[in-house]
Amino acid sequence: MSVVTILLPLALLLGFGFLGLYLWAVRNDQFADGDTPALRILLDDEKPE
Amino acid sequence: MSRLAAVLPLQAQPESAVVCRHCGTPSFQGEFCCTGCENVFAILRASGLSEYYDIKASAYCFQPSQPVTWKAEAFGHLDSPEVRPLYVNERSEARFYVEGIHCVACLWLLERLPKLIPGLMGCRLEVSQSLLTVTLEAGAELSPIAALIQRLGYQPHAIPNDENAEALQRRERKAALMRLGVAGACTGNLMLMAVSLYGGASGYWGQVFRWISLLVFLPVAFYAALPFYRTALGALRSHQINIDVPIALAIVLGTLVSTYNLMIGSHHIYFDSLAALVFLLLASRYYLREIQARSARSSQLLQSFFAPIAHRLEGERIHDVPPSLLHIGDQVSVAHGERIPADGRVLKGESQINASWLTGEYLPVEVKEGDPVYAGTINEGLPLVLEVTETVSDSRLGRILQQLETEIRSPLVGMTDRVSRVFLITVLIAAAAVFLTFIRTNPSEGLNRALSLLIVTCPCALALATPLTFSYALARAYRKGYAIKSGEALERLSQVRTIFFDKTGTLTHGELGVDSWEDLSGDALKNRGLLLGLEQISLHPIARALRHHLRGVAPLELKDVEEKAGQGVSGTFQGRRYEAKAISDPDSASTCIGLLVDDRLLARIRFKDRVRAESAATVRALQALDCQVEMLSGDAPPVVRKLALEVGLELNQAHAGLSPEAKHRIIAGRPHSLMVGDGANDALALQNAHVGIAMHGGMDLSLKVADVYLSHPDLRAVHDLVVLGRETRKVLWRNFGLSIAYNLVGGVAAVMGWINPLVAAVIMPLSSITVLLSSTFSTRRVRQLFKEGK
Repeated sequence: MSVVTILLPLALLLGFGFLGLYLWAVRNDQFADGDTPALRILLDDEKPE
Repeated sequence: MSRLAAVLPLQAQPESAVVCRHCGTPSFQGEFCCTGCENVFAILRASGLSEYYDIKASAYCFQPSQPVTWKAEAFGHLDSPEVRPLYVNERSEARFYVEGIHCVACLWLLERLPKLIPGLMGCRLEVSQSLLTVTLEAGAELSPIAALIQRLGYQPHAIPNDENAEALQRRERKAALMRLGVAGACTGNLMLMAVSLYGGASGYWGQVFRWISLLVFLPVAFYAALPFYRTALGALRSHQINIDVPIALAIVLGTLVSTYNLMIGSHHIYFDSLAALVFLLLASRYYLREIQARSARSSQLLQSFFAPIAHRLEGERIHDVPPSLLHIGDQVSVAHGERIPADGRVLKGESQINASWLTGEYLPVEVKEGDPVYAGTINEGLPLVLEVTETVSDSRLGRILQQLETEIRSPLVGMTDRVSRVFLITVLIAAAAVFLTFIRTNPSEGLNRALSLLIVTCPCALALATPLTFSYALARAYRKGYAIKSGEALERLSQVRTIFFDKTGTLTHGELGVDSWEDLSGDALKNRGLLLGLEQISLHPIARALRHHLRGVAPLELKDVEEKAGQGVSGTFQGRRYEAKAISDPDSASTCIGLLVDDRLLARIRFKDRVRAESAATVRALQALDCQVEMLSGDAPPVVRKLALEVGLELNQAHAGLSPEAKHRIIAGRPHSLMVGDGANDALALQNAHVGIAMHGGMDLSLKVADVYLSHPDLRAVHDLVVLGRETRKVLWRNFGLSIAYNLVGGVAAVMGWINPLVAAVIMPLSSITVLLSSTFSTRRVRQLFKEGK
């Protein structure tokens, strides 16, 4: 069972690390508009002059 | 052409048809279908933006592209010092609702605006809402930007900024998303622990897993579940019980009992079930709120279409201001087709005024110098100059607005809350009974069983079912173009017993059409040519109806055509004087126009407001649903009677000659009434009815107060909505039944002492999944009525 000693904290760390990332994303308006970014990415950047 | 080729192509046109180079619709006159499209094409090419067409050609279009038909609109008023702060916020941002957005190319074009115009720092488009946010340089003007958007073939509507309300909405939405995320993550991690525990983890590791479960559960209890405590406390404070009371009770008791059991080393902990419960409830409520917000927002955005502007005359100059800034004695000009901004008196000009919002009468009223005119009526004729005699808040429109704001519809105690009240009382009594039975023999066992009963019978499925059922129904309706503002409105719809229709604009199209054409003498074709020649330039609605009726007829050229207010039009053709004027009709009460030469009648044309094609069928369908159908109109009794017969109503079901206030009184006297209307004269009735449905093209006022807004004018929607309301109620009851059945099983198990966390963990998701499926599939009737792609 000693492997659990490593795996358990690791699993919790990973899980809550991603929760932290999600909260950061919500705070920074990453979910404010669900549709447009998906379309915007299809457009090419402007060609350099 | 290669870009975006992977994205779905749409709008395949038949090879042979010539299509417009701008909008891609079939064109019958060369490269472009209309001059609007041609202009936009030229502007894009001149600005070096022809790439637009390459993107469009290969891009996925979410809306069919339309020919450019916008009328040129002046946006100068946006820059006046009084108006600008209404639209531009402190960060120099302004927002437009942009009509005509249809594909990725529009996104590309609109976000490229800063390159085209100085003073614009940035542009962001929210495609799903058609909202364009522009960031201005300090001091830059807004009107050139609006004008540019319009020149590119879109119709921009500036949206008044409401920083506080929006910031609040954004904060609430973010908080809801964060709670949802926390609950989801914690539930997932708790499941990991729970699986090991059910799998047989015991001893040292079992205890470690249980303690970690407690730690992981804490954010759920103290952060994610806060909204439940808040509403439960709010309800208790006002001596009410809503569905959140048993939920909060179960969460609090569950947490306490599980923590106590953990301390004394018992295995009965419910952290995983409770977290999953909180997560599912938050998710279903978030989903419902998003859907309600979308519906409410689309009608809010429409209201900004109507933002009226008054053209105040200041010496030689015209100053555009919002009507609320007008003072008594100010002079304003009102062009053809514009709304009169305030009650006033005509100083200069003669015209026709459409006062249908006050009177329901669609034929315009003639006004001349000195006549009074009322705010909200529409100038249908030549430009007028008015003197303001009442400020906006004192006008009749203003008083109705104030009444609308002060009278708030009594809130509905929803079915879920009523059921949960009965439910909670039953469970509390049962728990007390269980505890009392054991009090002599084994009080600690009795307490344990009573508490298990309270936790296990938490009406989770019930609480989950309602928002889910409502959101599915709302989403179905929204896809068909019916924006229902809340789940509560849907519940009200299911109770409707009497349906009131407004006449003008609701049962009818709200505009005149030719009813019958009778040639008494002379050549029929010549009569038509003469009449068309006479009515060629008139702005009168009758002239418009005639021109529409006589499309394709060549007008004869008359000399000295003159139009006299109230006396029709006259003109000379081959030396004879012809006139077209209103004549009294021997047969009916309808509007009648005669073509005369030397007082001899050549032709008699009857007009009437055309009935919508689906009106009669809708009335029949609603009657078949056991609804009493009646008609309310401000129009004269003979017209109303005639229409009643046409749509299949009894004469005593048609009420004529009603003022807005009288409509309101009739509605107020009938409980469970549904009002369908469009004009501002219906606003009071719409608000006071049990449910109000506003038709497309209706006025801002009616949109504001109605519960449902129809995005295209089709009366069949009323039938669909009533059915949807009733069927949704059936689904709710079915869900209640299912959830109560599960609770009975769980309750019995708890009382008998069979319950353990594993049973709880199985019953809970099982009941949730059942109601989820039940809500998704709704009923067969709803599936048929709201079939996708129909």
